[in-house]
Amino acid sequence: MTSAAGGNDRLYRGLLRLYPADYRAQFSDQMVQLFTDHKREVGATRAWLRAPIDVITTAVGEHLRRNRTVAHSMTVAPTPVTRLLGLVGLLGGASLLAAFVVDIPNDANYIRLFVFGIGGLTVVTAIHLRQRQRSPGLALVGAIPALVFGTWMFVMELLVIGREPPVFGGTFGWVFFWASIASWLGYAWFGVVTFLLHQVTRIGAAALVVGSLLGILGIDRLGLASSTEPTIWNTVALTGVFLHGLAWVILGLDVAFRRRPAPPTASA
Amino acid sequence: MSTAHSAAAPPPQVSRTAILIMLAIGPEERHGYAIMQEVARITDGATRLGPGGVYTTIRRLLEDGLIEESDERPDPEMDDQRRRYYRLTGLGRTVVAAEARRLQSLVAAAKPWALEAR
Repeated sequence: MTSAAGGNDRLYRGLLRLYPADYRAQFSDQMVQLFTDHKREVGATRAWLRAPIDVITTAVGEHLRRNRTVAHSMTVAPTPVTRLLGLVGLLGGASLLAAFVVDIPNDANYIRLFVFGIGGLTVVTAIHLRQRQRSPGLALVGAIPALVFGTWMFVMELLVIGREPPVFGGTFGWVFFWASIASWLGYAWFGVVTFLLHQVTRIGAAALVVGSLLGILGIDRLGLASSTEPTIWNTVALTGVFLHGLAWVILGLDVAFRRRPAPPTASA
Repeated sequence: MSTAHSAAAPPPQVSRTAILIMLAIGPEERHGYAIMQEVARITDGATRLGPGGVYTTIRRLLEDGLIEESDERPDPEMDDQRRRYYRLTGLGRTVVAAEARRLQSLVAAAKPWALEAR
């Protein structure tokens, strides 16, 4: 076997980490063998053209199927670290929802943004720790964009502490714009993966997906929502923000307090 | 052999891909790559399965007791011994036969205009 061929096979084997562990244990060797045979016949380029879509679509199907059949009789309590992360996330979500209930002064608003930013990142971390026991590859692919883009947005928010509104304009305006888009999409994608892996309540995951996508519509530079003359898009975007905060509360509660199914054994 | 379904149980619902894979296995024993090639051949290239499509379907067919893994391994001089070969079970043959009869009656009922229409 040449080193290029070996590299292709290793890469393909790495891609197979998207499947549930029990599926990989049973079929990964056979799939690599089939991929190698196919590559030998049609060439590496053509073999790779369809491989990612083939693996991703069928891996998602396997996860959905597994979620329907997994037994929930064995449960374990959350660890102290998970409890702490979940509680911080719960606080972050609550801080976002608080703005819908009480009028928060501008100075306190920065603290609220700080708590919210930290809350989102801690919940993602807590859920990821749980999801990686079920499917390490898919869990990582789900968490990385949310953590990276969420951190980016969090840093941008720290930069504007003490500024007069509008805080997202000026020098950093476009950087804020892209940080906002990326973080909303990162959280939406994390919600999709969380929904599929079903290690926490799907209500929270669905709220995160819908809330994040609707939240995008409120970004000033898209020109849909307006701070001077509110439109229907303001309402839609605010609904998204509310759902986003609600998602962190639900997911924070779940990871902090709910017992979960025991992780699969080595043979599973 | 899988005992997922007793003789009294109704045959499981199977997808089009599952039927194609069972047809590709046929009366013989085939490994994954041979199945993939045979599916492409019997559909004139219209259906080209990837490794994921082949093995996720094989897994369901194994669980439903429609196919089983052969215990025999190929001669190491003739083929790679790591390959796994699959064959139809009795239930699998019954399901394929029922599907073939269903399609046969459908073709028989087809009117000339339906076959000639473009």
